[in-house]
Amino acid sequence: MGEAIVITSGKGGVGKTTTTANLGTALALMERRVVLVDADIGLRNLDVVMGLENRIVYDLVDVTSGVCRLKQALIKDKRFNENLFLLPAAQTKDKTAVTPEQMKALTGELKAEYDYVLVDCPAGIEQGFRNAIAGADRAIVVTTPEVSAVRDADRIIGLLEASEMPEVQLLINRIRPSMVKRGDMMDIDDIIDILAIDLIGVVPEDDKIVVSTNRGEPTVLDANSRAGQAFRNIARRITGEQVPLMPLEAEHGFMERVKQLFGFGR
Amino acid sequence: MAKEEAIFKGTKEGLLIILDDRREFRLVLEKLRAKLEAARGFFQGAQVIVDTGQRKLSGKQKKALERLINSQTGLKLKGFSSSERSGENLEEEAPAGSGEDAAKPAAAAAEEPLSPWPHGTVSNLPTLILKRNLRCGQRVNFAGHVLVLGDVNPGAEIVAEGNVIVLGALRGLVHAGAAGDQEAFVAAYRLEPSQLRIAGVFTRAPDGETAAPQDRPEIARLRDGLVIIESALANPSLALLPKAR
Repeated sequence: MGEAIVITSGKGGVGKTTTTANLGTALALMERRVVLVDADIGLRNLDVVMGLENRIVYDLVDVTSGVCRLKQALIKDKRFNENLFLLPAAQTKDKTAVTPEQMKALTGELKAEYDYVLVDCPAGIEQGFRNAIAGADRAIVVTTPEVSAVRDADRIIGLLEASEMPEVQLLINRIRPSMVKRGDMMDIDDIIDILAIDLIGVVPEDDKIVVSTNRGEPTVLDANSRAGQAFRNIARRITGEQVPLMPLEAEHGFMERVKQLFGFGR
Repeated sequence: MAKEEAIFKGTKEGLLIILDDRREFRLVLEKLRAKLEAARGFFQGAQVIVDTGQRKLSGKQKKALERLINSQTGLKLKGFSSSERSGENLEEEAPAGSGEDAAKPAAAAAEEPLSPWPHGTVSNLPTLILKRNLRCGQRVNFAGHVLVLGDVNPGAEIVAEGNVIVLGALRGLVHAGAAGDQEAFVAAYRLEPSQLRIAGVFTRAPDGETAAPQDRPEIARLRDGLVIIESALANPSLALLPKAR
């Protein structure tokens, strides 16, 4: 029996879809069987980020409305031999096309087959959110170090607590160590102080994300990407491994790397 | 300035009428009559408790009060309260020498009538206890005191008719004495509300950067129509019992 994890945030644009794609890919690389579910019906883009858009035949609403079987709608990502699948959202319907009960049944069915079911939640707190969290055993709340994103994350955590989500963890995305250092950005402690939930990881801002998202290749596949490294660590934490937070101070210049090489730097 | 002969207060139980215990009873009764006439119809359907302070009423005086109050449309006298009656719990703590206390000027605090909140040191308003964080978008509305064992985050709201006490960080919106109680207070382990209201007075956090947050309990209350925030530690009025025994 697998675990269903919903990736949510409240606010849009903080990196839910990027997180879902990267964590799913990282888990698949660890030889876990993973299915990604795009619950953002009407505004799907997990398929684009995964580079699987042109292979969609059936979608989530086709499954819940009985047009096709679940197996038919799952798209296999050939890069990860039988380990990574995507259930795309419908593009032409809206959030009311699915009910929380249907989502619960769907995730239940997927959990029987896969180790991890990652549900990409739409922004907002309405029906789409209700659907996405319905069958989840765990929630990862994504926020960025901005007051508005933290505020929305707080709202979402309140709603998750009210709906008795068994486990709620925080992922801080797009942190810029240099700005935090200058005091221009909220730091991790400020955010944890307000949200008061467990931290599952911190992902630094990384230009490579933009490139990889546009190419449809998750950043975790790039061994040199800091964000990719952070996502790989978070995936390991999801499986229960204890992985220390990576140091954020790593915006090293060339000289610093040389120093480090010779044992002078930190 | 001398205090008024008859003071009207709205409480959870109904209308509380506090009568001056120093002035002649006849005069007080006359004033009360005039006030009730003036407010005719305003207190429709209210249950009335008369607080007589230190004064001991004779049966005849009680009758007179009862007649006066019940003669007003919609008012019903429910009972009397006085400092002697409501002080029962406290008397156990101070067994001996209470008779002498009255003579000592130092015992001023002990002389305060222990009538219902806000005049005494005891409040019997109902209290809502929340053992969790109050998060953005969550709102608590309660006709009594609110005690939070946790944080109140930005975007959360507490509206209480009584006092609000937060054993944590208070960063949201808080309104104490929402029914008009000017004596209501807000106390928090870390008092950083986005907006703080007591009775009809609104204040908000200053713009721009504030000092680094510090874990130091503070209390906010009204003084001369302004919200005053002071350390809750140095505040003798937070002590449970009157001092100078």
